[in-house]
Amino acid sequence: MLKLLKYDLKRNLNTFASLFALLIILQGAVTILGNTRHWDDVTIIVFIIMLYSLTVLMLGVMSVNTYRKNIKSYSRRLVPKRPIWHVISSLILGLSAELVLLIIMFTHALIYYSYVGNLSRVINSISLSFWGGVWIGVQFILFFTFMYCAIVLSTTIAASIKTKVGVWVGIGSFFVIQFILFKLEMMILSALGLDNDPLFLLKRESEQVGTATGVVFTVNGQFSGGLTSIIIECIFLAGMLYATSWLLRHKEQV
Amino acid sequence: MAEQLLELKNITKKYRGKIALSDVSLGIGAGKIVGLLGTNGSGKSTLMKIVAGLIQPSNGAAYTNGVKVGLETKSSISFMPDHPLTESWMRVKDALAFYDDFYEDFNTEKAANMLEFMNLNLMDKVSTLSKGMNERLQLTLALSRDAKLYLLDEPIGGVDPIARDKILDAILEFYNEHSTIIISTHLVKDIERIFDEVVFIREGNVVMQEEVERLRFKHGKSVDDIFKEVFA
Repeated sequence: MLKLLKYDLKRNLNTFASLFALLIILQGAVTILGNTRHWDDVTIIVFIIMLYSLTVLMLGVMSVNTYRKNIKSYSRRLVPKRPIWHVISSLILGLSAELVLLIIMFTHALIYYSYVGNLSRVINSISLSFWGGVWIGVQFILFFTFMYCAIVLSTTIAASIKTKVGVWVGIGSFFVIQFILFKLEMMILSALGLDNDPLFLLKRESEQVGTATGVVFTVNGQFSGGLTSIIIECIFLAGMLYATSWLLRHKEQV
Repeated sequence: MAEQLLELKNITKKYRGKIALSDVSLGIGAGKIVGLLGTNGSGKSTLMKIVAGLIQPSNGAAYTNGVKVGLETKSSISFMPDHPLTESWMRVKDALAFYDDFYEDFNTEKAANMLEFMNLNLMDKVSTLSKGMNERLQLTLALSRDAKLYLLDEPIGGVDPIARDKILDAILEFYNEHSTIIISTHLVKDIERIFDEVVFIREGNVVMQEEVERLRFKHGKSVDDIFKEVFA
């Protein structure tokens, strides 16, 4: 699997590097221009968050695209490796890229804090414990993995159908998979008598601080039903990986 | 030890209702260069992809050395398809490293010799190679493995006569006599000199399988002439 990851990385290295370079340039421009030209703090933060969100999305698209190219590639399909490793390799590539993005975000936050000062005008309190941070990280990895597996399964279904309707079946199957798994999870949680905790435990409240809008972030560290959700979603993930692997073994994509 | 290196049992392959292969059964022994001959669309590539484990037959099964084609057999079959085995970002050295990483039977010494024979440089970018040079690289990658079975799908299709001769010379030069090579082509005249055995395939059916010498003796004609008669 590491060898597959190595070649996925080699193929995408230039694209990832270009994306990160562009992000750093744009974030630098927003940070410097925004503060030297006295933009509203909320505007600066919104721009920064938008750029990071867009990058998260693009990295997700790139990892799915890597998988899509791999299943069409003769060189990859011929190697004596189990099909599941092709799926996992692109997933780990995507998660690794997100980790690099996280490091860039932290570095950016540190630099911003050093030069601009605290963000109390925008975020007047952040109550984030260590475990709260871990919880957000776990939820993000789970969310990314879940979306990746659902898209990859839909892509594989689409590639397994050789007619023109394949693409539409793939798109349709993505929504059907989401709907069925969502309903199934709700049913299981309800049957177990657990509350349906929100997927993300980040709570946001808005209030007026002086003349600017303040945002309070609090993280719910309660694991209760959330942990059960994670276990259920991990089972769903295993099911989607198995289905994708089965399709790769039994239905041709080349 | 299985008697036949490759055995196909009642293989049928349908694409959207269209039959590409119809109940194909054949056996090929070890140590031969076999020509899989047929016109365009006769089912040659489909047959090769099934043997390589790239696609699944609708019915029937393929076996190499008695083992059903699947993950395990990918380690012992070297396939040169009609699509590149390389990726556009690669240099020749990356393509070799890729094979060395994934195939235990990859022979780096043989690869180096083949590169020299084919006039290829390690630092050449795959995306800048001409069609003929690219075919040479694909053949180098496929033949540099010490595989039991080599499948070469149209190795001389679309290349000039000079490159064609070079490719055929390379096959003879680097061929391991304990293994079997199956070469699919419709350019029979250019390549028949290297075949030990030929299989004629027409509209998804095997219509003839014969030793080349016996065929020439029986018909008093070249394989190319017989091919033209069969497919006329």
